[in-house]
Amino acid sequence: MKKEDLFDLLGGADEKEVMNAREYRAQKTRPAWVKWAALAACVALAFGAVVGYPLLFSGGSPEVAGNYPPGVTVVSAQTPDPVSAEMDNQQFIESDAHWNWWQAYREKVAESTPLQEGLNGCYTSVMAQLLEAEDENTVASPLNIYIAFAMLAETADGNTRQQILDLLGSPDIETLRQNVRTIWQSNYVDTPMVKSLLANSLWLREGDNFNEKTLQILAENYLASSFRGQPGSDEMNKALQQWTDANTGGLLKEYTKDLKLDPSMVAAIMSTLYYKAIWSNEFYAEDNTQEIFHGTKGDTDATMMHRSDTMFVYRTDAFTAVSLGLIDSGSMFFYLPSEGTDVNSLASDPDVLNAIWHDNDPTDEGWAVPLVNLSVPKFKVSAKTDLLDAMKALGLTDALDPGTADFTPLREEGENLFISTAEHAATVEIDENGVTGAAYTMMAYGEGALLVEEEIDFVLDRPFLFVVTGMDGSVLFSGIVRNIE
Amino acid sequence: MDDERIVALYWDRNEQAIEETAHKYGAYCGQIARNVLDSGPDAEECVNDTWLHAWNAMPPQKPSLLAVFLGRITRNLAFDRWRRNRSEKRGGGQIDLVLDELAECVSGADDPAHAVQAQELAKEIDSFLAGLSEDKRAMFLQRYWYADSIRTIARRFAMSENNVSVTLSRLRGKLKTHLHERGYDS
Repeated sequence: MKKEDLFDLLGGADEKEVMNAREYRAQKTRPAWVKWAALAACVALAFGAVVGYPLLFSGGSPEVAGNYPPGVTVVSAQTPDPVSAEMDNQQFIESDAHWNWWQAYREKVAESTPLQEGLNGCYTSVMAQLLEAEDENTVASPLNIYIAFAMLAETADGNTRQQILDLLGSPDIETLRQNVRTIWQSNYVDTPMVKSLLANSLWLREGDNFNEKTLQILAENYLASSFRGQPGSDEMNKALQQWTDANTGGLLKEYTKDLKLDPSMVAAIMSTLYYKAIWSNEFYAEDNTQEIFHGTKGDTDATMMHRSDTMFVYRTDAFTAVSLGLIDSGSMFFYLPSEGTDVNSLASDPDVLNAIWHDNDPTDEGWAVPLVNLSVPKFKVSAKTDLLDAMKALGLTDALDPGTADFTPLREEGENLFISTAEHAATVEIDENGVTGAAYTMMAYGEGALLVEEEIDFVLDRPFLFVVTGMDGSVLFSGIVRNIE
Repeated sequence: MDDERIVALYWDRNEQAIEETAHKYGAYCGQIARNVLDSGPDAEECVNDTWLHAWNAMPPQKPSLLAVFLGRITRNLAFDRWRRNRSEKRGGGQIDLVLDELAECVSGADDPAHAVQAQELAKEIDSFLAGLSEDKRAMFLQRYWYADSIRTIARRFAMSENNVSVTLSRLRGKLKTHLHERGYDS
């Protein structure tokens, strides 16, 4: 038989299957094309206690979080086992194990994807609060903050809880809990190709009478490990730093070294995200050039990575966006503001996340697929933000005010509790292979005193915004690069 | 407009049928034609010819899946045109690559019995496809029915191009074995 005959014969294939093959395309609205993204994020709500947590970083070299200081009692949550940990990238991708994993994973993503559009409002509000700045680079993990706030809502009641539900776009706590579970399922990935590891923990003051039912909900639904000890003690602080480092791949040590629980703190919630994925199409170091980056603090030298390819490009009056895929995961989107547009205005521009939702949708007018001469600077951005002001601006006022805060689900005498400390830190780095990053948020409960087709050039040589998404569209990281240092 | 009504228009010999078809399936058929033929004008002609063929085929035919019915016409027309053109120039579209890949599955010899066997062979191909998982079947058909590029497929499946190539290569090996074991094209 000749190859042409086979092609002819194949034309007669079962028409239902031919249609299904086409619809398979239609179902897949989320492309994923990245080659090396490594990101870590972490959120903490401060209660007061210490827990140990075994984390598995098959690829990296973070410290093992096994042995916690004496004086700290640990109940570890059970996380899913890694998939095919014995294989390397290439073996895994060629194996049936990959197919099996992929099919199961696709179902999880299909459940989580429809939830994402409902989170855009929350994500945009969070980005507006955390990314707007003058000269400093800013970076945050909206997904991480979302999960931390969801845990906070579990410990709250009355209007304190309602304000959190309003921000998170959930009608009630049960729906929120279910949504977090679904999102968690589609964002927890531990394969040789992708690490997207989420972890939560509770830090509780030894001797306090915490509500077992609430702790159980947090353990079962949020897979929160729990640590009990004396807040303010060296042991407790060490355990907190150790756990956070282990669950963020050690990427946030410049900030975690200062992490501590004040002796007055009763409890804390900590939530982390570590992410690492690979560009679908990597950059080649030999193509790199040294170029000028026109930052807000003046011109600096930057190492530019280049690629010319047809790419998905989204345009509005305010920006032009390009997305790069991550293997077995989401995408990284780069947003270059139009001349005359302040990059800060993109942080609150709803079109930024709309672009993600219309990614790879050829029927959407904003998207085109021209040949793009892409120049992206290699960069690493890190930032730590006080979350208290952001929470106030986001409408979570009751939680911060000892007079109104209601955390009775956490502890019987919960009316005395309020959020006294909250901070978020993140870092994202990209290179020829992919992206690396980390972030954490810490929220602590205090007691008593009040505290508060064509061709375009896409050259990222001036301030720009970026977003990294999971396969389901969850916004894992977002940031604004204003200067390359 | 739903397919049933479009088909009814054909049966009524109402020329609006072509307008509706072009509106609904122009992009779908156009993509198939462009995958096979490098030249934009050639592909466009193929799509226009598709409407004419559909007009001549209905009645008597009443396709249950209009999209595939039309897509198949486009695929045949585009492939015929490619065969006519190829003495003049190599295509440059996906089709050369697709055919080179398919060459791995067959002997390449002239086979006079093939015409007789075509029906049985078609059944074998369906049974081969039925034995694949849904994802692999979709990937195989995207490449060898629609002649989609590896890059397009990789994007849809959220995989690397290398991964798609490797997967397709394994599937071709399976098809070859499948045909061999059943005594075809040895």
